[in-house]
Amino acid sequence: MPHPILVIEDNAANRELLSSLLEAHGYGVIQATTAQSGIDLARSAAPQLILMDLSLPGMSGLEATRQLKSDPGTTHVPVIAVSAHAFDKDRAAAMAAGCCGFITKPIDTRRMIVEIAGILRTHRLEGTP
Amino acid sequence: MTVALRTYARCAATLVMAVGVTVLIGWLADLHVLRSLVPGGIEMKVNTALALLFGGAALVMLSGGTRWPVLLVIGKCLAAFIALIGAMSFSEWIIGIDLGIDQLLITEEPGAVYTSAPGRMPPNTALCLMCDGLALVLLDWRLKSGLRPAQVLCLIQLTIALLALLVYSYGVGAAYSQTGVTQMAMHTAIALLLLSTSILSLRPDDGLMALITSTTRGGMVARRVVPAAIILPLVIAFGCLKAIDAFAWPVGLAFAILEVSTVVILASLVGWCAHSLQRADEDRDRASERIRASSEEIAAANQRLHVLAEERRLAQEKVQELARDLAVSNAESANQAKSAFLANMSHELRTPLNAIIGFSQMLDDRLFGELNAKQAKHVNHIQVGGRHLLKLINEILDLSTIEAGKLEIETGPIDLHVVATEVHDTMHALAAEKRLALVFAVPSLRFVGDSGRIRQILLNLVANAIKFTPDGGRIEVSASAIQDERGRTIRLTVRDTGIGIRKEDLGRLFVEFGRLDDSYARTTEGSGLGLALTKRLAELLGGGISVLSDGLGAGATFTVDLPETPPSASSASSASSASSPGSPALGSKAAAAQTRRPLRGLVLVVEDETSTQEMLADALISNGFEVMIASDATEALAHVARRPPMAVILDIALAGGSSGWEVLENLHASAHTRNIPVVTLTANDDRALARNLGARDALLKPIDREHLLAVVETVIRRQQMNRTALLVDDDPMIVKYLSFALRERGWNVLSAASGDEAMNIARLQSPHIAIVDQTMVEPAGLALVERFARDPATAHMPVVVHVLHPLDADDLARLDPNRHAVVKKLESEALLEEVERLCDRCPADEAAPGMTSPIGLA
Repeated sequence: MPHPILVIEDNAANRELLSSLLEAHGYGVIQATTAQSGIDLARSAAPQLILMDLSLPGMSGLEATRQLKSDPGTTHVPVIAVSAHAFDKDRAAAMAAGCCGFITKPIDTRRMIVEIAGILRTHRLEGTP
Repeated sequence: MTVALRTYARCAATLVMAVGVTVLIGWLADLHVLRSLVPGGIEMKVNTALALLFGGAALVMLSGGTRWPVLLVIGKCLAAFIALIGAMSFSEWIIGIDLGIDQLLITEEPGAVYTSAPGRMPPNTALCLMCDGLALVLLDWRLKSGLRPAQVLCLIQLTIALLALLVYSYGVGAAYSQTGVTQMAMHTAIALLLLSTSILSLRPDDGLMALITSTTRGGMVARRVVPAAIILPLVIAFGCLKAIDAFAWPVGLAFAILEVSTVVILASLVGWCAHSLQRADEDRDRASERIRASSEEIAAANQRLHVLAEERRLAQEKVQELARDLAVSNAESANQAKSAFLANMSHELRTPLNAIIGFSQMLDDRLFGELNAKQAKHVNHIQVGGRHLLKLINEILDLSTIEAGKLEIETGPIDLHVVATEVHDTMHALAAEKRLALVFAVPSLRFVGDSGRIRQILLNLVANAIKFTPDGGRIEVSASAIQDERGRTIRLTVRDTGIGIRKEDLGRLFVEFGRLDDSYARTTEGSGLGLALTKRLAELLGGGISVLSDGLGAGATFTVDLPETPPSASSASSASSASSPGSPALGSKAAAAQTRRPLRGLVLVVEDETSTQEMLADALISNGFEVMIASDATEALAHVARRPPMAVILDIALAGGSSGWEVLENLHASAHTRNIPVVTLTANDDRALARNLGARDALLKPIDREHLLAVVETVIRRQQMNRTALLVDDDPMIVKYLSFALRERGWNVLSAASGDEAMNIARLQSPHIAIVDQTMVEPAGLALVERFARDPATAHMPVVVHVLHPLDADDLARLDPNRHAVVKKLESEALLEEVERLCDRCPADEAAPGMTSPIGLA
């Protein structure tokens, strides 16, 4: 059983969208609605990828990414930011926090699947040189 | 005082006239008492009485205030007449002859007392009258020294008359006459005194009189001393004389007393005056002291005022500064509020759109099972609507950002041909749907500019042209450089054969939401923001947009002029040698044929549509390629396994359950097939996605035969070159991602984490291209680029710099637009495109001779 993809998203419809999309393409999905529960889940469930909404209630997605990247247990898990903030500065902030991808909402489902596949493949290749 | 003196003068003159008239009556009526006024006294002569009458009259006339100037003339005549009488009478005395004037009017009886000749006035009287007459004539004559002769004459007359009067007073009149001189009558003396003082009083403000009448201390002393000095000695002398008579005082004693009294009186007067002057001085000193104190107070007050004024000025400046700050901060906060609103609006609209577009897309992709025809149509409607909304949001955001002055221009080296090709590729399918001929004639103009914004402008104009051109029409896109005295201007022209624009509508065309709301415009969809945004973008780049149309049905021509920032001089010379052998101009077959190299090799075509299969095969075969054809994924993978091709042309939309994506995934999953270049064919714009999955290039259907051949040749050539890229970055994460992406596209990758390491690798292994992180700590990315440029072994190597923030003009000037490119970080797709483009433009065989061959070159 491959490792799941962790979706951290507070908006129910968008969480459902991402879960359905990923499941339809054969990925296992686990979900969190806040940054803190997302971090806890990332530590306990060892996901292969995290899709992080940046504007979460309470702790922001950027802060959560920073915490994940500074934790040796989760630092290797790639994080893709999924945000409705579409400006260049948002992209730069996401990159600075440690995200390896930035997808703007509304998402293009086809492109997103490909992008996820690309990033996962990169990681697999690195795992098995 | 002046008025009082003048009044005195008139009264005295009247009195003098009265005396004169009285004496004349006495002479005419032969009444002795009227002539002498004192019984038995000395009589006044007729001429004297007449002269006195005239003198009084002249004085009144000359005293001023008269309304008739003629009176002044008469007054002067009378005065002259008096002077004449006086002078003639005096002459008679001097010369001793009778001029016959003495008894001209009335004959005096002989034997009158004290008379030298009958009717003749005494010499002192004559002298006095002469003085008075002259004084009146010369009344207003003033010497340069300020002296008035009239006043001197009056004083002489006064002295003579006073002497005569004193003689009477002291009762020595008889003795006086015994000197042989006719006695002046007492009333004559009085009248003369009145006359002379009156004349003096007429001009009291000038000359000698000014001394007396002035308000200065000099005037004060004069007024005190003069009357006392005149009157008191007279009185004392009179007293002494009386004492000599009454008490038989010896004359010597009387004189001694007179002398002592005079001394005492004069000394007292002087003392009094000195005391007064001293008091005045003290008063003046006190006043000065008060003035000085006041001055000091005034100075102090001025000082305080000055300080207050300064404080007020400072306060005013402070207030102005605060007002300015407030205005600025108001504007800033308004701007911030607007920006925050825009960011929020964008976020809040994108969130629900995410669900709308995402779910409909998934339904459309049949991820949840097959849809019936109606459902498919409705899902499509939802998607189209969602995308339209998204476009609208993006345009509003762009417009607002421009309005807020926040849209940044990101300049970098541009090849206009490359930008135009991208636009062509994007719009090609849309134009084909309406069977429109989309013709691009854009030469390879190179300059420094914002390629993203220029692309946006062209996209908007072409989209607009497609929208308003009926099926079967034609759209031409061209560009040229115009040189004038201000420099070079890049002119982009988009011409269509569409519905055209009425003259009266031309002005409204670029106004936000200003769509021409007529039947013909109604039939097309659009936000009404596209052209407004295009205009703003052109203006943002320092240029402008204009439109020409000959009216409805005549088509339209949009022209965008953009001022060019020319590339630096050093790069201009190499521009010609670097003209791209790898990017043939669209719409220019000759150029494409010229640059094509004859290559033979096996190409796999994966396509399920027979007609497209045939077209592709024909194009490839006729150009020397060998072709294999597969209709689905399984067949394709089987072909590759049996005989690996040099390239694969892959249609993504394959029928029968499998998709092109699957083929792509599979090809890249195996190390044996990973390096086979794949060119995808898609009907919609999935090119970015295809590249992400490892496709070397992606073409849009319908396929342009020439373009296809050029692309296939390019990907094969690139693969055969066995190209090496040098990645210079101190961030291992970035190196990891980029290495992977480059390898996917067939690159060999070398990496270096420092400048020295990079220089060594570059010298020894001569990579085809270097990719440098501008944010690298040591050395800074641009410094390394310059090191590459200075070393002859690496000077020809193209370099792509990826940056976090756009470079400023100074940094851009350090780059050569022909060999260097700038790409934003995290935009790996753009980075890879630039890498390919630069590498095509600067092939390794162009490098300096004697250069080491790249390692691993077959």
